[in-house]
Amino acid sequence: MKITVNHKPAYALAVVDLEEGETVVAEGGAMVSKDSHVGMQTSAGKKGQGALGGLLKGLKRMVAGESFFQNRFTPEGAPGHVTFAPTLVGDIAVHEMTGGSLFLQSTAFLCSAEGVEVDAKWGGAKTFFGGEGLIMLKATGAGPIAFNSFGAIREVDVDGSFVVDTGHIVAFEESLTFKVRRFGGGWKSFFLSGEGLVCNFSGTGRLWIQTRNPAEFGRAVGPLLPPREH
Amino acid sequence: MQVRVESRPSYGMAVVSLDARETIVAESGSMVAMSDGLRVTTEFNGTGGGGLFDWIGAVFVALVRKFLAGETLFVNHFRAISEGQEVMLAPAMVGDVEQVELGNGRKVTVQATSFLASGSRVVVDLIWGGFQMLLSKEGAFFMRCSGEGPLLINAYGAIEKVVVDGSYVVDTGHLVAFEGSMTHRLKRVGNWKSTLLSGEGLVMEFKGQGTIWLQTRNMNALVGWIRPQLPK
Repeated sequence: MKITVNHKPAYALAVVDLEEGETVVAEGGAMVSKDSHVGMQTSAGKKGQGALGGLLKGLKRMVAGESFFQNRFTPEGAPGHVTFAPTLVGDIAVHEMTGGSLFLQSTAFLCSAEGVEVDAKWGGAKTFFGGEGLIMLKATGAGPIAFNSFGAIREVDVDGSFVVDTGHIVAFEESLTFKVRRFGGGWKSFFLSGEGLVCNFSGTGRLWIQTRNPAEFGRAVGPLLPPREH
Repeated sequence: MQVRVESRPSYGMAVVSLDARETIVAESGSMVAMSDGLRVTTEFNGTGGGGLFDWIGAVFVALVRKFLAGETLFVNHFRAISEGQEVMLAPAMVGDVEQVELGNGRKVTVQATSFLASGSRVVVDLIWGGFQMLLSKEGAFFMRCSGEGPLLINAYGAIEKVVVDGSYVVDTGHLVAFEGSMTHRLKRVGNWKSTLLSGEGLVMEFKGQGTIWLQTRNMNALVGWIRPQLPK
């Protein structure tokens, strides 16, 4: 499996080349196009997990802000390709997993090899991703995984300590430990600095941040729109 | 006539240079700026084949579109009355603009919302995509473009070109244009379970040889994201 990203950073598109019989798992609704001989199957869980296992998986994913159902694409009879795009304008990053774990912001998952297991995970008692939800995704296993952002993605190799606004985190390796705290010196900067909660990462590992914050964008645009009709 | 596209891919804008008596036909509302040696007239688009029946059909469709879809099939003709004129054209959405050169019998069919402009020797026929296309939420109309000269198409997002030889499937929300030599039909993706639950909706299957132009973002997905942000 090879994942190529075209049209970075604003309108990134993931092009996935698959060998015959190889499978890519994708977020529901993400498919843009595919070869006709690439078959698609829709399910909540993996093959062999059973109905209940699938249901639990799907529910957990939904709580985390992802789709209940996922689609599996497999070329039949010859190699083939599928392309995927996220909902918002923004970037896609690809990471080759080699056994460790990767934490993802809840709506960041786009697609991965079948050998990568993506599960919803409780972020802890503190609102981990600020307004973005208490739940995050944890990817384990081996193979490529592609995740998307709002705005461009910047990779940061942390060695020591690093601070990120919670709304700008896309993903980070498990080797990093994190602590959510108030920004700045006191309550005054917490309320008035416009920064709110930040995440303090420490250790050694890679971190992916996004150059825009979807919640802030929503708050900027939402009030300018007419109220919902009931 | 010379066309160059600037500010790609986020904010694509076509800059069209015209010599005397040359004409560019552009989607209504797409003009950004123009020099002063141009005469502008407004017409219906898609009457290329040119019979009275086609004309009546186009008027009807234009009116239906105007009132139902908030979008028109009216076009402005910019005709240069002296040398060295210039028109700048841009679509409504953020995204790319691409020039496709027609000639030697090449036909390109464009989703109506992706038509930006064409040279006056390009023949544009309005095609009704069939009742099935109404189900797909995206435009039910296509513009079949033939003849000779430049055709300008626009997209939400970047434009990905796929060269097809055989058979290929595209999500209808991401379709911009396709080579007219290919056959196409609307179908569901996967089995019935997938149709209902996959979130992929309807797709279009193409057969034959030619290029397909795709847009890397989808308007309906954007609307789906914005809706919950609306104040209650």
